[in-house]
Amino acid sequence: MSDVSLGRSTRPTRPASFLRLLYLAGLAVLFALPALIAIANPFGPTEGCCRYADSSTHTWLDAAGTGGGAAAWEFYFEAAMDYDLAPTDMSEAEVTYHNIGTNYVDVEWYTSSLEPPAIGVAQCILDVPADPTRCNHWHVRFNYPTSSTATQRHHTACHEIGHTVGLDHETSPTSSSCMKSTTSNVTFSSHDTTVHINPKY
Amino acid sequence: MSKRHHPYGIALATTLLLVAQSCTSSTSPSTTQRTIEVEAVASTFESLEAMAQASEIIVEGEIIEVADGRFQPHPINEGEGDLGLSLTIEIASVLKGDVEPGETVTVPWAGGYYVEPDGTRIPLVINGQAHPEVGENSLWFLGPHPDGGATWGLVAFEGRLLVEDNGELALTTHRLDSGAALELNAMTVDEVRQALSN
Ligand SMILES: [Zn+2]
Ligand SMILES: [Zn+2]
Repeated sequence: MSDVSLGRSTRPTRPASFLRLLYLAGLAVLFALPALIAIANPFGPTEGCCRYADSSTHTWLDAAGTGGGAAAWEFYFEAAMDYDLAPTDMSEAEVTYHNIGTNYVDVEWYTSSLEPPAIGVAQCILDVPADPTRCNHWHVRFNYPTSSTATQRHHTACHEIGHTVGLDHETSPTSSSCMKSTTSNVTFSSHDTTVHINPKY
Repeated sequence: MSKRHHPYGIALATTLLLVAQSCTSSTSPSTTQRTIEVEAVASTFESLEAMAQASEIIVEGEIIEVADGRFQPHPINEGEGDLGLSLTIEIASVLKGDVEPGETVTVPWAGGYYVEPDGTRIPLVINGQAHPEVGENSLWFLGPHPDGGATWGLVAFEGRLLVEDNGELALTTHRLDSGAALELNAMTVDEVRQALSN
């Protein structure tokens, strides 16, 4: 009995280790693939530039008033919220407050005289104290419209909103994402939505 | 990437700042250890040639002064807002345009400080770039600025490159894969000069 069992236990060694190798190789590929994809457009503050949103409801305030060509930006900021972010698993809501106590609007946008070459900027003004990987309050500022075309404004609004949910730049040459800096793309890619935004929020 | 500081570090720095503020009558503004990262969108260029065409002057020079620039107030909170920097560059050599070595040009910098209502200044790190410093040697691709005169605007973030001692150029902006950025990052100032004269 012991011989047989010994034989049985020693014989399958080779196929077992081969299978294990296959299994490990499979695992390695499984882990490497997302890492390779992540290199194309990192997500969140550990991989890339930007903190995550603090919740799946992205509130925003139009603090631009009526001056400084605000209307030229308002159209595209609202369009990017309605047509780029709203179709994802996140939702967006315009609010009229800047902060109620420690409850800050997630994204406050306004026009500003930005120094060249900036057309638009996003900056996290306040972290979530209990979780600094998330941002409590973003400022998004757009330069007065004289320095940009309508397409640039559309691209810039989508791009900066993408930063406010944690998306970094996309470097894939064929990407349709507005997170690709060297293009004038005006929407998120399906990769942005299905790989990053939807699983996170 | 700018560093994110340990909460105790921030607490300690804040305490030291508060102590420093209460112990001095100095009116100079306080800055914090904290930095704010700014992600900016700007034009990009597919080639050195395209960026050079869009530039009115291209100069190599040394930053001789970094001063406070324009203040852009927050629309709601009084006293709060973004303060730019104003760089003065002494031209060492001219690759394009109607300026001469020895002249100075003023270049406003888009990332300066976020100023809180109490006057505290938080340094802005724009597209991965810390504040330019006095003594820096760099190559600048510049176009007109609304202020006119000797004030010029950077045409693209890849239009400012550090010049290393051996003449090699180094990009300062992060994660930028434009054609001009990739081309310039492997060149020297003399190679750029030669490419532009062809
Ligand atoms: Zn605010
Ligand atoms: Zn960006």
